[in-house]
Amino acid sequence: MSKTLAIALVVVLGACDDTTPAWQLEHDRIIAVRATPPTVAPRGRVDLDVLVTAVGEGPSVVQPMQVALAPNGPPGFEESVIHDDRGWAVIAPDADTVAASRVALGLDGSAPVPLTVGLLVRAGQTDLAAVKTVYLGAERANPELGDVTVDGEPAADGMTVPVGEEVELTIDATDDDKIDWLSSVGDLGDVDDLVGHLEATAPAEGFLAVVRRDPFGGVAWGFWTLAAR
Amino acid sequence: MKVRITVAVLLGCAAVSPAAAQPDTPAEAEQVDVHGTVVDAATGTPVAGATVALEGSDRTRTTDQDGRWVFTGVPVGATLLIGSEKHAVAILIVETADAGEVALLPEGAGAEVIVMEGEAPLAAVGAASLDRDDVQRMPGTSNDLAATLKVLPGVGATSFPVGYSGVVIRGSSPQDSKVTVDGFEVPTIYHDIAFRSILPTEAIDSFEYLPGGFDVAYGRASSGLVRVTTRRGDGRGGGQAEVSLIDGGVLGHGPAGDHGSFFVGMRRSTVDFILPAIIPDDADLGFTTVPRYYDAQARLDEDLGEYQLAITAIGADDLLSGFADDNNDPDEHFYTYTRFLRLIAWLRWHRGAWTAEVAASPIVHAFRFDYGTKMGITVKKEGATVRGEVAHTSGIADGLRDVVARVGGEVEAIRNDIDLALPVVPDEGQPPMANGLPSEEEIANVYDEVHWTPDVAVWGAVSATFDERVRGMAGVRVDGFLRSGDVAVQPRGELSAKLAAKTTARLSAGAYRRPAEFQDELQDPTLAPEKATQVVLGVEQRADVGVKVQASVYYTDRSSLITRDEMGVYQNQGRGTTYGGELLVTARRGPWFAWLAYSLSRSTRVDAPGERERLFDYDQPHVVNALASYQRGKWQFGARFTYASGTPYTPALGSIYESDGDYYVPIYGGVNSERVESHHQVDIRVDRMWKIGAMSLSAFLDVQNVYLNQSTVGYGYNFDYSERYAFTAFPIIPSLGVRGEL
Repeated sequence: MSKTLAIALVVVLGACDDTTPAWQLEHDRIIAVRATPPTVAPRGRVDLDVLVTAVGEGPSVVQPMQVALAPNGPPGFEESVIHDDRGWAVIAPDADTVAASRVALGLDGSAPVPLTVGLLVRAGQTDLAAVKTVYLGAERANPELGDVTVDGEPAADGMTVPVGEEVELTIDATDDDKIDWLSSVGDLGDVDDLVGHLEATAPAEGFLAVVRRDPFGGVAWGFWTLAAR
Repeated sequence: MKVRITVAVLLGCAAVSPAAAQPDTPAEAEQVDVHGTVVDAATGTPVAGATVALEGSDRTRTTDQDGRWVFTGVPVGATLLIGSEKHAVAILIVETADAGEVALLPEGAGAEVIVMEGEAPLAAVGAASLDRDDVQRMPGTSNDLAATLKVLPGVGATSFPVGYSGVVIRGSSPQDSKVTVDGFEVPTIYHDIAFRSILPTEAIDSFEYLPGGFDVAYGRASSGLVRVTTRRGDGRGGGQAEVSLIDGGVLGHGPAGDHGSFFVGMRRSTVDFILPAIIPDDADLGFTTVPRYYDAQARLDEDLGEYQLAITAIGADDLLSGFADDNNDPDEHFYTYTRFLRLIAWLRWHRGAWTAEVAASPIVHAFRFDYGTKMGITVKKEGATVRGEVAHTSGIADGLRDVVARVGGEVEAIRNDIDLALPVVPDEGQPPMANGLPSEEEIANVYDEVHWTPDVAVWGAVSATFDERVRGMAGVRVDGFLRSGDVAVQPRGELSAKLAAKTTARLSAGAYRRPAEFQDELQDPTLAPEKATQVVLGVEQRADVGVKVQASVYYTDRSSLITRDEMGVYQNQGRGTTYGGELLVTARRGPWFAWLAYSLSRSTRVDAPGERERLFDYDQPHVVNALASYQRGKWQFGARFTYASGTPYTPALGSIYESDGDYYVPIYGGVNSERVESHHQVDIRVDRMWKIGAMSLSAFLDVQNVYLNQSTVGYGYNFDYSERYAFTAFPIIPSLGVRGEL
């Protein structure tokens, strides 16, 4: 019945995929979008910023160029996206509007109302699009990044790793969190585990980054300069 | 169906022994009343009292004073043995009613062999047939049936077999065409591994390719048919063993009782012994079960005077499991098997103007594919098909000649046990799954049901010759797809006109249906069959002895195509058209065998009202296959050139990052709005034969794509769809085989 899948598997296995892996920082891309806070009470403000990376530049935190509500959002939120001196933000409407949206969406009485926004971001020379969901009508903060170590030492700018040896990357987080390790030095393994592995086969200089996502839309990130010697 | 008319002197064999060997007759062969004249080859005078015997039966006729003879109810393809007390025996393979003049050489005239070849009318406009010897001469096919199908005009040039039928015919979807073995469908025609046919070439007698316009006796396909006829055992007995880098097998055949014969064969893959050695250590791939397959075939024939009985069994068993990474990650584990066994029993009866045939075929089939710990599909099918047909032939009726009237019926019941949890499989025209492999997050289709698909069909047709040049056929097939409650009336007809002595034109038109049974279509009992209306006009010119030119143009209108609506639910809402032309030139002269096939095609569809027209997934405007094979002494050399337009694909133009899920949603361009690169390649083949005592040995080297022009099958993308990589076929495929035959 689904022989196509089996054949597709064989073909995929036979493909020569030499494209850039997702953990590579030498690539124009969005790494994460952060809403601060990810869940906000009525009339509260959510600030948006983005972690991007670009070829030859490494990771950086930037402001979106444009933000807009995604189509088919809940009613009463049309004016929620604003841009002011502090940058792009989402302003939660009053409690009555949030409550009405809850009813319209069939949510529980205290559940936050999800609001998805689209963002346009520049990474290097590339304009990229992303979507992010913020939650309105309750309060929750982004997680702390947690302690990060590289080869047993706390992560910090200017750290080095030995060439030809696999070193361990650790982050103090929980199994409910989603972890992403990224690097522009060496090869990364176990990139979505609490303990990742990095091995550099040649001297190089670049960056190491890690993103922690909790199950509630919360995001934390960190990035540091790194050299392999 | 190709039939050779062969007149050969058999040394020292003046006595006619009809039961000494079995006729090599396809199960569904048409019967004719054959007539002809026997003359002395030396003097040209009629031979009176010569015996004409139907091989494999006790039926004989004797020539009259003018050397004339008539033999009624002879299957097309059957062998007649003709001889007399003063002449050596000649072999005549029945082509049409008029056998013409058969010249007998006087007894002891020597070892000279005279061979004349001709061909019976093709079963449909644009059809072609190849026998076992032809398949074994085709460069670039490694002696494989599935690979050989691709040299046929109108067949898509894909890098590996697709769908269940293995072929794309006239730009349609692979599921629109069927492959039958001895008249019954098989679940698949090729092994999952190495894509070899489930029937070794040595186990087939011939196959017939009908790209469209086929008879009312065949249904359940809206495009084309491939009819494979298994090999009948040779009453003289024999055996064969063959091994190549891909597989190896043995077969044996011989007499069974006084009037019967048997054939048995079995094959096993050998590529599984080689694969572990050639997969690079750093490949993201590991096998827990090295891929392997088996297939087996058996056939028993019994000729009982007016009755012919044949029982065929074919089966296959494929297994593969492993990890798609080098860390033995359970989420990257895959496991798949395909197994089936089909039994076919048919009984044929003939007396005077009447012929009847009844056949029954049970099948068991199981398929399983698991990926990771949560995704998988298991399909088990058991069922049976029973079919019967009665035909009556009249010499002259109401001013018409050779009037053949047929009625038939078929009942099929299949129990389907389906258990699946998978992402939604991309349908015809849909972009591939994101990043190639399925992921658990994409599981959207969960189904666990058992249901029956009972289908019935009846048909009837009348064919007659109007005058010396014109013959027509009119018929109708009615399919009842009982699960969905659809009744499909499909009128079909054909008109052929002899324009000149060697030129025949044929026009056929008809309606066809393909039931909703592909992939997850079976989950929806309300889906109606897809519809097609075909019109085909062809001209056949026998340019010279052994040389034939066929040209045809066709138009197919398709409706009720099964496509998903905006909610992802299947609907019979698509329409499509296909038109094109085909040219086939074949030459068989002395040591030469040459073949030129060219297809011009355009196949488009609209998936739903208001949507834009797009190309079918396998639309290829141009496909050329040119090959030549030359035999000299114990050597045989062959080469083949193939050119094919690239198939359409849907490009990914970019993506949107879904930041909470940390994945990218692709933004696709127009469906099938671009094509992969066109492809051309040259294949070569060299055969060498030896004779060692009673044993014949042969070895072949078949090399596909000798100048390493790697073809692109499609494209994949990196994680954010900003980079593209190509799925390519193997750059070169050498195949080496050795065969011994007793």
